[in-house]
Amino acid sequence: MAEVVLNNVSKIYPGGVIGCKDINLHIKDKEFCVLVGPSGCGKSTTLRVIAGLEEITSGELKIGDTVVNNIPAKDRDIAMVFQNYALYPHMKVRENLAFGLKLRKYPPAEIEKRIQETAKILEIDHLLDRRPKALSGGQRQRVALGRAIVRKPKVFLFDEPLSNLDAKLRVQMRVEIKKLHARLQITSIYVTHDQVEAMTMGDKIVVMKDGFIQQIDDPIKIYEKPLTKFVAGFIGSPAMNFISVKITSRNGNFEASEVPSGFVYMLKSEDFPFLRDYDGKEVVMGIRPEDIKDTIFANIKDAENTVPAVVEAEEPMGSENYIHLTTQSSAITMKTAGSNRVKMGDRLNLVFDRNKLHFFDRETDRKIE
Amino acid sequence: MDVVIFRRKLRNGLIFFALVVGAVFMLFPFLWMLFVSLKKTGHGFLLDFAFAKPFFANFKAVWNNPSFPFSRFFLNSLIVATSGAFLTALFCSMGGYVFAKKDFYLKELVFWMMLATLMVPGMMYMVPQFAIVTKLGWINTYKGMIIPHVANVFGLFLLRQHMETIPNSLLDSAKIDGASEWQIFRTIIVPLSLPVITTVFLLTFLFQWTNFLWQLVVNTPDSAKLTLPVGLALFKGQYSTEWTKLMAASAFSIIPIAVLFIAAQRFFIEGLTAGAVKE
Amino acid sequence: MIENRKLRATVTSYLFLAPFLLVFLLFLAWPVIYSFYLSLHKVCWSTDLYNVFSDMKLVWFQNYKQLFKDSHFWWSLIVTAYYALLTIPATIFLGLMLAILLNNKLPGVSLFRSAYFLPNVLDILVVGIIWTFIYSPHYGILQKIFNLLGIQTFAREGILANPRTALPGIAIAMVLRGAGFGMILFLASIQNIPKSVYEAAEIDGAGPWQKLLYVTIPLVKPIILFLVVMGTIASLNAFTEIYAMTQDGGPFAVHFMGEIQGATKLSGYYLFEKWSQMKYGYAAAISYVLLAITLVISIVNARLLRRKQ
Repeated sequence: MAEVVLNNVSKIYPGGVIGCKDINLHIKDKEFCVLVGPSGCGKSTTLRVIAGLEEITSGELKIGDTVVNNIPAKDRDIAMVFQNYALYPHMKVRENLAFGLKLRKYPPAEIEKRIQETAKILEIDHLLDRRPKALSGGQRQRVALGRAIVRKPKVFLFDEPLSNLDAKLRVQMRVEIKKLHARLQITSIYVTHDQVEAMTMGDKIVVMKDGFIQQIDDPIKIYEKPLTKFVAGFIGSPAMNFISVKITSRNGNFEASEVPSGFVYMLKSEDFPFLRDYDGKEVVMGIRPEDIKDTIFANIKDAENTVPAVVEAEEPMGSENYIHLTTQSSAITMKTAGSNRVKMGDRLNLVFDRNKLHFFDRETDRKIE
Repeated sequence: MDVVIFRRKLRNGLIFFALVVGAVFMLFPFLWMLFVSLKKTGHGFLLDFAFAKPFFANFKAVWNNPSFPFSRFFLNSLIVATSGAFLTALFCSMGGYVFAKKDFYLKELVFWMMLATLMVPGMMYMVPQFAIVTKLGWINTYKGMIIPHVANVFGLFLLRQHMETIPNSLLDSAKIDGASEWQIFRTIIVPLSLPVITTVFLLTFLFQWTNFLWQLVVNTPDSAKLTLPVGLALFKGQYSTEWTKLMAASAFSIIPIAVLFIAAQRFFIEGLTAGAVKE
Repeated sequence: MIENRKLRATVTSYLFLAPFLLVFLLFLAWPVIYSFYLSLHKVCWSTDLYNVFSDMKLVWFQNYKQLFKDSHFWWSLIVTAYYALLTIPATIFLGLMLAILLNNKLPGVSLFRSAYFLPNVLDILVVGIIWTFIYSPHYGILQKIFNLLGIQTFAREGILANPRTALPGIAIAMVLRGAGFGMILFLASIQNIPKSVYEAAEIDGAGPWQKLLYVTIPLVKPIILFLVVMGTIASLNAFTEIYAMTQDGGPFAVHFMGEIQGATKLSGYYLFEKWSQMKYGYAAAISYVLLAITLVISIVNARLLRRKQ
């Protein structure tokens, strides 16, 4: 039973550098929460604050029912997996696993029992008498996980644990950590800069930027209903296309004309009533690459509402094909089936899926709705 | 083709010869010392093989000399060098740790002060340190011989430099694992710095073993705490022509260090040249 | 705003630092100030021998005034400079030569390396005594070799009792002891020079000597500078070898400023002499002047290094 609650938590370093600011976050018991964002966004600081490795400047942090602001790391009953694993190089795997238990004065028999259990779960029984130096990256990662599990803590903290692994191993460990979480049912907080990891692993995703939280939601909501332009651009690959357009009302509907010059796109006012406040103003229109179709490939006849674009390059991935195009003033990427091939210089007429269009305020970057 | 090989061989042969001549020149004094220390008289020439009977008679005579007991000097040297080296390595490790890994008030000031004393020539400390030791009543004591030199700033810097390379995440991890500050130092920092700690230990041992001026200053001639070099200097003053015995006495001082050097030369060389590498 | 964490870290840090810091403050930091205090004082003749330092008389700058008129002090500085001149270039030259010789792929190179370095760790006093024996006019091996060659110049008084040869004699012993140190530094830095630099020089038509002159030496210049500074400080601190090899600052050499001066009475030895005569205040004043000289050398050195970068 351990939820983690942050109320208005801020970490300001001496000299005024913001680590993280006004963090309000409620992580439920047994939940797998992912903090994601570019480097320097405050996700690691937030994690270190929760771990007790950084002091809270203001706000309140609760683990379970206790306020832990002034409780040192070792008494918070948490375990942490570090990016570089932080295995003690001078200790064997067994001693690495036992270290935390020994310091807490567990009886040797209990320590041995837990080591065996943990080793079995992670399939590292045969490595117990080796030193970290003699292990491969994946094995080190397992030992680092083992060191966290063996303590049976209230909360697991992961600080970019997979970023030192190669791509294939990363995918494999991703699944393993998820399985482990399903099995152990321990509240977990996971920091990563990789949005794929965030999407695939999190029950709850927290997107951060410049020390502030941008959005907290489950993965699908984050993807489909990004609250800010930043979230929209950060989550999803290839990234969402952003096109600056000017909104003008015409005959009861709206026209979105590319800025400074280019295509004109019709928007029905019943679909986008909220654009009324933006008549005559510029906004950012966003559309994900997979929500763009082409008249040739899709067999859609919507001739008066297409966006003409020229092919610059394509990236065939086998199952799908990313086509990079330019309109008069913007660059657009579309994602289409792998069999749809184009040549450089081809002219396509793009059709946007109206239900998947996003609009963002130019000044605040917030979603317009 | 053959000429090229011949020339290379000739060149290498000449270099090898030069190296041997150099080694003979530089090591000759010590070989000569060993040779004479085993001889009957010191008068002889290179090829005079009249050895003492029994073979180690000179060593024995010096070791058990009633007025210059070299066994006692040896023991004193051993006590002073070992405890001095141990305390220095311990204090420097503890200090190096906080300078490498902690942020504390006045850190810059203390660091700057230490740096400044590195510039002060050793000779300058003789008079004031003697005055302080006199006031403390530490003349003719092990304390007075050892303690003034255990704050080795160079050793602290050497250790700090190494400890800075230990990843912070290891310390964080230990903290979360429940380690106290002292436990972090004992179980993480010290084992991971052992090679450098060994270097500091050996260098201090060497320094204390061969330190002559301070041990001369802090002991009166009748002190029971005389170390080998001081004992040797006094011995030489009295028996300046008994070369065989003098060389045997010298050997007592030289042999342990030579053996230690051969066994652990990596540490000595790394430590002694560390000051130059930084520049 | 005071951070709790930093406050706590400060307490822990000073607990860890305490043993070192106590000794440091008492025996390294305080003496620098205390020495100046002593240099303004004089031991009273009527003093209680067990309480000398509490019983000194304040004489202000009298010690310094006396020092600047003291021919022995000026002489000691000259001899110190002479000693530096005798030892430093020779040590550097020998070290560089050995390093260049060792920078060849030959059997036993590491053995030679150890052999050359070994004398560095040995007791200066003992090395001095061994050399005294080697130099001894009656029993010494050197004179026996000279006899074979018919050289009788040193037969009567020996090298160390001759005012002309005493200091060079000491210098030879110390150069042979210390050359291995420079060798290690040179060797490390020569081996750090990329092979391609030499290959480029070779293509440009440089022979072995040109490579030494135009590639190796410029690249080891920082080491040379370092050894010069170390050597200067070693000369200012030189004491043990003088004590071991000559009596009371050596044979009398020349008249200087109207007095007879010892040929090997370096400033370090002179300082010791004043200490042993219980002229503590005067000795402290000498220390302070030596400190000033050292600081000047360090500053000049720092300037030179900075100009490099």
